[in-house]
Amino acid sequence: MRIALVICLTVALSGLGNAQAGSPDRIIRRIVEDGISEGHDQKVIGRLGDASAVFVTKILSDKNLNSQTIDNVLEVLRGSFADPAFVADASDREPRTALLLLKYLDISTSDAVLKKRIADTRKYLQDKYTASLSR
Amino acid sequence: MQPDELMAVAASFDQTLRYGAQTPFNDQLAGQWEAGMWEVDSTHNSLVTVANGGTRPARTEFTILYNHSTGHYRIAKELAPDEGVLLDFGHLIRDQISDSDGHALPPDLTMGAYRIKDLSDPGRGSLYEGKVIVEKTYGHAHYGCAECCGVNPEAVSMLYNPLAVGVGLSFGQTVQAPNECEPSDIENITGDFSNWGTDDGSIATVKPAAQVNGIKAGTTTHFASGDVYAGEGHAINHQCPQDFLEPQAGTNVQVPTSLRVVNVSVLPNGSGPPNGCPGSQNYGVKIDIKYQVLDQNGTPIQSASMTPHENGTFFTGGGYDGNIGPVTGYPTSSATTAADGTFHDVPFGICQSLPISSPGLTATQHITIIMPDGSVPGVRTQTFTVTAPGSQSFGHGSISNSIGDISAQR
Repeated sequence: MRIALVICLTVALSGLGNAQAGSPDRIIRRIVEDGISEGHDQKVIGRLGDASAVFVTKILSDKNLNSQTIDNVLEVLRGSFADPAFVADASDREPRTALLLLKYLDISTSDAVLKKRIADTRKYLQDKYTASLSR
Repeated sequence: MQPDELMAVAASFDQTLRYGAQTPFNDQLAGQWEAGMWEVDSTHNSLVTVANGGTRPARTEFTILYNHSTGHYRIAKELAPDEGVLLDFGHLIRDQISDSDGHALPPDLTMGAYRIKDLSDPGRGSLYEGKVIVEKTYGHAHYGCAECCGVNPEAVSMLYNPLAVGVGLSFGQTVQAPNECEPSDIENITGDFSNWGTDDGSIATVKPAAQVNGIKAGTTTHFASGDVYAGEGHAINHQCPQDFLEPQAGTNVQVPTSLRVVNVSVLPNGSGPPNGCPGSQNYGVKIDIKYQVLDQNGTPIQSASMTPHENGTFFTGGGYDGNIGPVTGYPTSSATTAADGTFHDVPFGICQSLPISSPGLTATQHITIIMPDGSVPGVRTQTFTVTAPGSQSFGHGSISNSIGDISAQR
């Protein structure tokens, strides 16, 4: 199941370019791999929406997940869906890949507290998307 | 009515001389009328008509004053050009008709005064009034002559003096003056001035009327001219004169030159916007900095049309170049300045999962302001340092800048 999800998520990665300083790929990789987030990051990932989940999937594809990494991913997803109305590509305003990624994160841990944070993030994304539709 | 003045009055009585009516003549337009005594009792009635003699709709306020002007009965109505309204004071009192505020006149009221105002154009105005006083028993008919109320020509002024406007920006000026009949009532008479200009068109212009435009840094004078109803006078003698007035004011054209830090607040702990550091990255700090844009004289530039821009290096290395706002999820952030010329740089700082050892991480920032005319003056260059040394700094962090006006800890 876990392997199948990773394969599924990595299908959409072929169009992503190489990392540049301040690029979405570079920023998300720093947050996920190093656990470092700068204030400027939100200016970039806040406009990504569902595209951020694709970047995350690419980064995770060759890594073993631990609780710190999962928490870092949750930060990326929350930042990406802080206000879906501002997501540049309208097709990325709905969390589809992100919800699939959260499902993958959920089955990757048995930590009840962490599972709760994953569930909270799922609800956060869905609530933000719903709220953006009513504006 | 002044002593020894003559007043033309039309009077008509029936054959018995028992029923009669009188009315003074009036063909004067004005923005405000104040009239003296009216009478309503078993033998008298007063009827007043108000009409719009102008070419534009007039928001008209008719106020009946009683009990030594402590009581007000107010009727608000918009009158189309040439439209009039007849007010039967006896009917209003006898039938307890409610005014625009839901009040009724006292049923035993017999006399008072009244006021008419053109709220659309208090300076020039386009209202005229007429009245008919009816008396039924051979007695005397009393009526107060209406006085038109202009502004005090000696006290006409510009609201903003000096007026400050940024390069490439516009700022609206207002001409004002106290009402001659009610000095505490300051009238906006900007619409009466159609001719505007400045002493130095290379520094500032005025176009359209009352809109002062900043061209380049410097000072000059802007002025306006027009005919305005001034003073007070009795309409029957056509003493509601127009004065040619030329108010002026100073003009300071501002260029963004520096930023003043208004306040710095530490963003709360928590996951995702609008929070600062999450529990999983609990070393460091993120802040919300509120800046005020200042001009070459250290005076705030009050404009919502300035776009804060920045370039520099991240705490983690590499460069950036872009507008400071808006940032999704942070409601104080915006693309342009607020109307008072302030803006927020948020979130600013860094959070990470490991301690930030001394001397800390540094980031550089150069802030410019993009003006509507395309000019991009620089306003601030600074270096930030963030520290959170050792495991004891879990949940904490400090940030400060090289200028010395930003320092915060959590």
